[in-house]
This record gives sequence, structure tokens and C-alpha cells, in this order.
Amino acid sequence: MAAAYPVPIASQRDTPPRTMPSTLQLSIVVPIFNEVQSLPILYKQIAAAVVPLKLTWELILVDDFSTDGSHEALLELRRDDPHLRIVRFSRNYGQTAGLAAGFDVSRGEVVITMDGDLQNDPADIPAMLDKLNEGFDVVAGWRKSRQDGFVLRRLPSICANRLIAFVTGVMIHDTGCTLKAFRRDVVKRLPIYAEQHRFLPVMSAGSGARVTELVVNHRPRVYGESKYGIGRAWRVLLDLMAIKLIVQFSQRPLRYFGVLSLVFMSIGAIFATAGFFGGSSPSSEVTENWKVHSWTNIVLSISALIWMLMVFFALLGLLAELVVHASGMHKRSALTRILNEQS
Amino acid sequence: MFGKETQSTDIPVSSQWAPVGPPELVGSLDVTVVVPVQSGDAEVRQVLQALGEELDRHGRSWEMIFVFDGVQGEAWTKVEALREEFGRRVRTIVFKNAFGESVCLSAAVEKSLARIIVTSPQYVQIDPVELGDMLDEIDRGADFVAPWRHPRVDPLLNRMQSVLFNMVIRLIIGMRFHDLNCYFRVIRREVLEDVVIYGDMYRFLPVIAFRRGYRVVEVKVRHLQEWGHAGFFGFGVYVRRLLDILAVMFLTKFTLKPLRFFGTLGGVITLSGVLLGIYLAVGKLLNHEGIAGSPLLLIAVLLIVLGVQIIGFGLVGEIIIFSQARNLKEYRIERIWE
Repeated sequence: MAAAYPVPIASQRDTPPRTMPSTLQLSIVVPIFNEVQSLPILYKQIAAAVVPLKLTWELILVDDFSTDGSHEALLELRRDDPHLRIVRFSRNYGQTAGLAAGFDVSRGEVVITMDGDLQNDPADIPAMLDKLNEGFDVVAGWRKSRQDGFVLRRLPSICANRLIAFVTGVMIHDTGCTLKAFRRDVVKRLPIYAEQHRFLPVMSAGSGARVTELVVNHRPRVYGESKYGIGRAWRVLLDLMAIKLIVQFSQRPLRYFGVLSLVFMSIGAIFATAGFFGGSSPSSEVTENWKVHSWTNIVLSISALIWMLMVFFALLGLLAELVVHASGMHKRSALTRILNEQS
Repeated sequence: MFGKETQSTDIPVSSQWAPVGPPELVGSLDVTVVVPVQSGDAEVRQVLQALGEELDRHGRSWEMIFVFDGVQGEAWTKVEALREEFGRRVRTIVFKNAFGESVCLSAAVEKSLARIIVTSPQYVQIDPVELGDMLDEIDRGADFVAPWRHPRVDPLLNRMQSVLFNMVIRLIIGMRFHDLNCYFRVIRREVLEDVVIYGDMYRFLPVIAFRRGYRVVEVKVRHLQEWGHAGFFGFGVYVRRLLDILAVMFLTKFTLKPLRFFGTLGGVITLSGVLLGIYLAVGKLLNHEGIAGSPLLLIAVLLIVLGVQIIGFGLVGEIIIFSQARNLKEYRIERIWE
């Protein structure tokens, strides 16, 4: 009964599909939540960085249902500059949704995301565009000199990033940095949901994009409050398992589950071997027959349980294959490199 | 929950009595009141008079749709009389079997001509004066007005159960609804066209609407009377409530990250198995206690195996969400200023 409920997530009718042809050269996406003080400065700095480039551009400000007057400030700014586009949510949804909405409505050939709290420096935008022109598809910002507390912010982040690099094989020093640049073809392909924005470069690498890093400026927080802290190691771990599965095996989930299945098979085999040969030799000296029998029984039942896991995971893998095929996801081709050769 | 009436064969065909209005008429009225009729003793006349007068007083054009949820008998003759009296303002939909309030509401929305839907129980539960305030909230920009019976007049035991239920829900989903068990709701039509509900989801309509990004407002209302069962319910009712709570929890917190749910559950179970194993190993090494014959060893292994299986489910869940992510949107945009 519990499983019968449909998933209550809105299918948005009034947003254009992400496949809309791009008409501009650059889109900058900034999710905004209660940043009334930093908004005018942010706008000035972005404009100062982008206008000299002589590009066609737009600045998409996604207002995540701010309550401190940010909305009015945004409309005020927009009155003076038609480059601004303002998207307002019907309630607070969080940063990832803000980025997803920004990607969805963006029209630029290149999409750059950044924080609304002035910790990213818009002056880095030209350098990021240069990197893209070198032939990369994704440029991730790297706050080499981070202006945050070491124990509470930087240390957990270093550990998390190392772990992500180890598991996925894509080394991004600073996955948490919002300042990133994407080519449109990458943005079109990436489904963005949940708290996934930090994995975007890793995920795009998984779909064949060329990913690189660029050291960017990081400034201490001046206005407003930091919007997240630590205390989520377990969740990061779970997310990592999911990302590993999605990045490397979303086309062929059976392999992921197959590997796990083999792991359980070997564990069961090792256990059985150790149990029968390691365990039976001492007990064979015991003359009482019942002792030998009970030990054999135990080893047998435990190995059987572990081997059940093997079968179970193999079946789960088949189920996952079924899901992937039913969704048609496997038909979407990986990102080709021809696009880069043109530029 | 309500006893079914004895079936007879003279149940009218529903479409005959509630013809679908031409599409251009949709939105021509202000308010449609939907009353699911679930027992023969429904006070249809009282509901119609109380709400109708109130709506007239506020100058809102209205219609009332009675949905006979597998029920006829006395209520049907009463509605027949009302139809002669009020003409097209009173409409009926008849189900041959009881399908529950969710289906009643969906069917009524399909036939409704108004831009605001009011759902009402089959008796005058709430002081009709409150309806004006609730409609004003809609005018002020709310999408969904949920009632909060305060103070309540039903028996203390019922109240306590209801308060407990709502507290648990509040704790789990982190939303501030105080009274999900009252079905006197005022809803913008778009919400009901967007949110598909069925089964027991009627109760959680405010939660689901909120989750979909609609603005849900709670209004304190004066409680007049309460029908239905008093005291403790049957065991099955509590089991169903518990499942509902589970479903709501899963849907509001973990839809996009199934591994967070399954992974945590499986992780806890695996961990308890591992701890039990360590306890046994320590006992074996230190005290040379034989563990081979101990049932605890099997239990430890079983726990680990179960936990790993649950995590495996979460992984498949992640694959499902990822492969469907294109169709899922987490957000609702209120407006774009180009």
C-alpha cells in the first residue's frame, strides 16, 4: 500500500526544455537566497567582468523564495539592465533546485554557475572562458586558498573530495565550489536533482566530457550567514555509492551489481574453505561425532546465506538493467568530442 | 469506515446527472463545493443551506456537487428534492461502489465549473462563517487553505489520538500542519488538476500540495460537531495510519535520494550484525567460548545479509531515479522576469 503512491514532484509545464537552441554566448546562473545586501555588489562585479568581453550574455538570478527583500532588490536591478533574468520559485527549494532551474532556462552556449554570497569572484569568469576555449567541456573552480574555518569547513571538504576522487577516479580538488563553467552540450545531458551539484563535474566526466580545474579566488563571507555546516559524513558516503553507480555504470548497471555479486561469491567461498579445511581439522581429532556435525552445519548455513546475497545481487542487477532499458536512457549517446574540435 | 448500504438496482447512471460542462464554461463560477456522501444519513440539506447562504452572503457564485460514494438511500431522495429546488446549482455524481474520498474529489473536479474547490464533509462540521475567511486567503494568493479545528468539540480520546497523529506527522515531515484529519478545505482548481491523488492520500492532500510547491495556508476554524467513530479504532486502522505515515515520510524526504533511506536502514541493520559478530569473536578469543553452536552467530550473519540486501534495494532505487530524472522537476517556478 505504501508503495502505491505516485512520486509527488511537479512536472513543470511552463519551463522551456533544456534542449532549446542557444541564442546567446554566455549565461551566468546565480541562485539567490536572502542576499539583499550583496546583490548590488554582485551585479556590479559580474557586469564589470563580463561587459569588456563583448559577448552576448544573460545573468539568470534564481530567487529561492527569499524573505528579506532580495526579490524587490532583484527587480530594481533588472529595471536598469535587460541582461538580467529573474526566476522566482513558489517556495524555498534549496541551491541545487536553483541551479537546475537556472540550467533549464539558460540560453547561453556556455553556462557559468556561481554563489550569490560574494565568496566567488566574478573576475575569474574570463579565465574560465579561456579554459573552455582551450577545448574543455567543464571547468571546475578550485578555491585553493579557502577563506573558511579549517576544522569545520575545510577538513571535511578535503576528506570528501579525496574520497570522491578515489571512488570515481576523477580528481577534482574542490567539488563544493559553486563557480563552474559548462558547455551547453554538457548541461543538456546532465539530470540535476537532489544535492547533486557538487558531483556535476564528476558526472559529466562519466558521460565523456573533458573536465579540468582552475584555481579561483575565494573571498571571506561579508554579508549574510553560511547556509550549511558539517555533520553529514554518512550521507556523503551514501551519495558516493550512488554516484559511483551512476557515473560509471548507469549504462550497464548489471556490471556494478555483477561485481558485488562476485565479491559475495568469493567471500562465501573463502568462508566455506576456511570452515571446512581450517575448522574441521581440529574437530576431526574430536572423537565425538556430533561436534563435527554441528560445525559443518554452521559453516554450511553461513556460506549458504552469503551465497544467497550473490544470487540476490545478480537479480538486482538484472532488475536495474530492466529499469535502464525501460527508461530509454541507454540510447542517449555519450558526449562526443567532435564538438571540441570545431571550436 | 462507514457501513455500506444494501445495494439495490435503481442506482442512476452518473453521467446522466452530471453532464460535463462545455470547456469554455470551466471557471465561469467562483466556487464548487464537493461533498462526498458516505452514508445514507448525510445531512445534505443542512450542508447546502449553511454553505450556500455563506457563499451568497459573500457574493460568490457557486454550485454543489454531491458524490455518492457507493451509497444511496435517504440521502439520495433528499438530494433529489434539493435538485428540484435549486436547479443546476446542485449536481450529483454516483458511484456504484465505494471508492473513497480521493476518487470522489477527482471525479468532482473533472465536472466542476468553478475556479475554487471547497471540500466539505457530509455534515456541518465547521462553522460556515469560516468559509468567507478561507476564501479570502485564496484571494490573497494562497493555493490551498487547510483548516485547523481549534478548539475541538469531539471526545477527548479522539482528540488525543488526532493530536498525536498530527504531532508525529509534523515531526517526520517537518511541516507545520496541525490538523490533517479535517476535510473542510478550500483549494484552487489548478492544484487539484496538477496533483493526482488516490487511495488514502486524501488525508495528506495539504502535505502533497505543499510538496509540489503550492502555497498552503492553515486557518484556525471553529469546530461545531464531529461525526464518526468515537474512542479507539480497530487495530487495522492504526496499521493503515502507520503505513500512511511511512509513505509520507518516504515521499517527502527521500524521493530523490532513495539510497539515503535504504542505505541508512540497511546500514543500521548491518552494523548491528557486525557488532554482534564482534561480541561473539571477543568472547571466543578471551574466554574460549564455543560459538559454533550458538544461535547468535547465525543471527549476526542473517542481520548482515539482510542489511546488505536493503542497501542493494537502495542502489536500484538510485538507478530508477537517475533514469527518470529528466521527467522529475524538483521545483515550481512562480514567475520568470525575462
